Amino acid sequence: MTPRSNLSKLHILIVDDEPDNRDLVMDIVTLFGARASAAESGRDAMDQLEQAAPNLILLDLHMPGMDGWEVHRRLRDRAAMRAVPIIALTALAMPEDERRVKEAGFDGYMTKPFVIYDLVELLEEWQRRITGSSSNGRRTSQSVEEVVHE
Amino acid sequence: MFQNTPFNLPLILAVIISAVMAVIVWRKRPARGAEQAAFMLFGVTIWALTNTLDTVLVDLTAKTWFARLTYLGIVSVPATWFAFALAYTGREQHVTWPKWLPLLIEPVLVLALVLTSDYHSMWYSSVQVKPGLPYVDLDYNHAVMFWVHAIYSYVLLLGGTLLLIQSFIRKPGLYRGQVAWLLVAAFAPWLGNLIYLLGLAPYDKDLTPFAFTITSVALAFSMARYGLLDVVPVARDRLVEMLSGAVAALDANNRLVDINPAALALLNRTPADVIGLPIQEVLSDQPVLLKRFLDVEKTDAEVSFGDGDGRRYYNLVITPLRDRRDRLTGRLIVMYNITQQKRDAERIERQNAELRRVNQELEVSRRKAEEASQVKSQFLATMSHELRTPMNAVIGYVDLLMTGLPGDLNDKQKGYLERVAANSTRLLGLINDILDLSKIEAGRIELREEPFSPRALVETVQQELGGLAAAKNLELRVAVDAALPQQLLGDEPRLKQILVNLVGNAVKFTDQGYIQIVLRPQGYAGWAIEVTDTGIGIPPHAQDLIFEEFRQFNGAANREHGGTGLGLAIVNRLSRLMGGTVRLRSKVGKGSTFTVELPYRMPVRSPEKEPAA
Repeated sequence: MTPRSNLSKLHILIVDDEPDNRDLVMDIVTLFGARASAAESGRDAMDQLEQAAPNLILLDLHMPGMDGWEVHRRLRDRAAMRAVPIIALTALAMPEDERRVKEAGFDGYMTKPFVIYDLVELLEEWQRRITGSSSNGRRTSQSVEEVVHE
Repeated sequence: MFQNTPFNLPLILAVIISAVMAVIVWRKRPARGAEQAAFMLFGVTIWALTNTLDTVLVDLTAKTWFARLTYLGIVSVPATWFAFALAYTGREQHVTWPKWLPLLIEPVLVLALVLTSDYHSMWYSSVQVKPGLPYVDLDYNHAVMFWVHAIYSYVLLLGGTLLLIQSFIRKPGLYRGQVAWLLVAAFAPWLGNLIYLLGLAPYDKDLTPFAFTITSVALAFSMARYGLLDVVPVARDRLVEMLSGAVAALDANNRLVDINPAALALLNRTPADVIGLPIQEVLSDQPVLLKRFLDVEKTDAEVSFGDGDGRRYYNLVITPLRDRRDRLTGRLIVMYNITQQKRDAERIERQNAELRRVNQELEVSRRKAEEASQVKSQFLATMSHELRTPMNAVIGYVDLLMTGLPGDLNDKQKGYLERVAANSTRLLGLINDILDLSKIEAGRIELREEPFSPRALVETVQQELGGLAAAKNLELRVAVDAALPQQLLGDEPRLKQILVNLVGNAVKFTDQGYIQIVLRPQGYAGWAIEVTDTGIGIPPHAQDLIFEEFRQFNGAANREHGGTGLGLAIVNRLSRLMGGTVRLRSKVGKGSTFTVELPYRMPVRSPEKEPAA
């Protein structure tokens, strides 16, 4: 990654109830050229989905109301959304949390606080995958581990 | 030489019957009274045999001699009869030879008198042939000693008979048949002899030998029908007497007909007090018991007497006694003292109740502890999340500023930001470690057992920490022993945590050289994670301490490198949770080797190689 890394092919929906963290992620990804929409709750995310039409979702897990787990479950039930990678970006960082995320079938898992370079690197990788193949070219067999550490 | 008389056949039959009976009874010697009865029957046999010879022979001299020999049998019968009566009615202790010798004096004297009667007239006063008979028979007129002997004999016969009558009275009902036949046996000789002595006998013949044949037949009948002289009833009598349980028998009219010593002890009575009494009288002080069981034919119940600590419990069994035609002839009552069993059972029940109560209390406190632990765990998870959330904003914005993307910073500003970043990272590490340790302490870590690849694990760690090592110009080497299974069972994230802590530690305290991770089998049932560095080493006095929380032998190095002092404590706790241990070998200035030894947990079925994605 360099400061000139370009995420312009990504349209990211950022879901986080904490304004500072939401803005931080928003600032970072837009600085690297991505389009981004922000949702301040799970419910908000579900409402914006149609209009925003993201090709990647950065999803906080611990939120009041509809939490990230629930959002993930609902999105996976929508045929149109099944191809959109969902990455958990969360302060739930206990080893047990990592396991839960893996079991739930998220496409990626990054804990807060995160290192900017790590986030950008992860997003670059996903951009490569999304644009490198057909529009729904997400490799469903990809494990969290591989995505996170590649 | 022989003559025909009306008595030939009956006499020969009498000889045969009494001889056979004598042998049969002799064989039953173990039974009460059998031995004495056998002696008596032998006497009867001799009596009948000599009397037969006396009767059938024609020669007068021979006749008189056999008449005299008859006394061999005659004198033995009264004494043995009396002995039989004593033994049969339960007085065996009196039937011993020393006590018995005096009773032999009279028979010996009688025999002597009879055999010497030619020289005196103390036995026979005169002898003549009976007139008007179609055969020869002698008429003996007896002298004074004969009558003395007769009285003596009658006394003994009467004594034995009285004993049997007493027994007959004391055993109404149940044993009546048996004793009745014995009385027939006892009275027959009386009758026969009386008829002879009163001169009423046909042809003036002494009928006593025939009468004793009737005695034999009565005995035989009693033996066949009532098991007289059987060993089994005797043995059972003994058994009942020795039983610790109380046994009593009632007849059809509820009279007490038999009772064993245990039952007498229970009633605090003697046999004479209660035998023959109606049970209502015997148990007049137990109206409740009477009311409940007086008409009960068959039961198996529990009864109790007394109150409080003195309360006694009995198992009461009533069994109906029936004759051959199924008529109720009485009831057998057996009572066992079950107080001890009862007490034991009560005590066990009390202890069980106590145990149940303690168990309940334990369960309650266990559940409370579980709840408390769950609350604590939930609190820790929330704490972790809540601390990380603001830290994310701090570290994130500092990071963002340092990228220069939001705008250029001068070197001084950059320097300050670097300090904020370093300390934020250190604070985050501290938060993570404290929370993790707390979680282990709270017992809230449940280790998973899932298949994982040790090689993949170690390569992941190499990738993640390779940069950290490279930043200090250190080589991070990895070696996996070929003998190690490709798949193991375990908690991969926690194993990774152990490795990351150990490698992070090694990097922290090593300035030149390398860090090496080795995975290899250990012993025959385990494997080991070995992390070696070429760092500053740990002095011996510090080697045990470094696994404790917040123990840092080199505070300066930690401040410099941002350690929390909790990493090795976490490694130690986790290793133990996994059933393993951590060992340390170190030399100051040369380096350290941390070895985590873990038991093997292998998948039951070795998984096939997964196809490449």
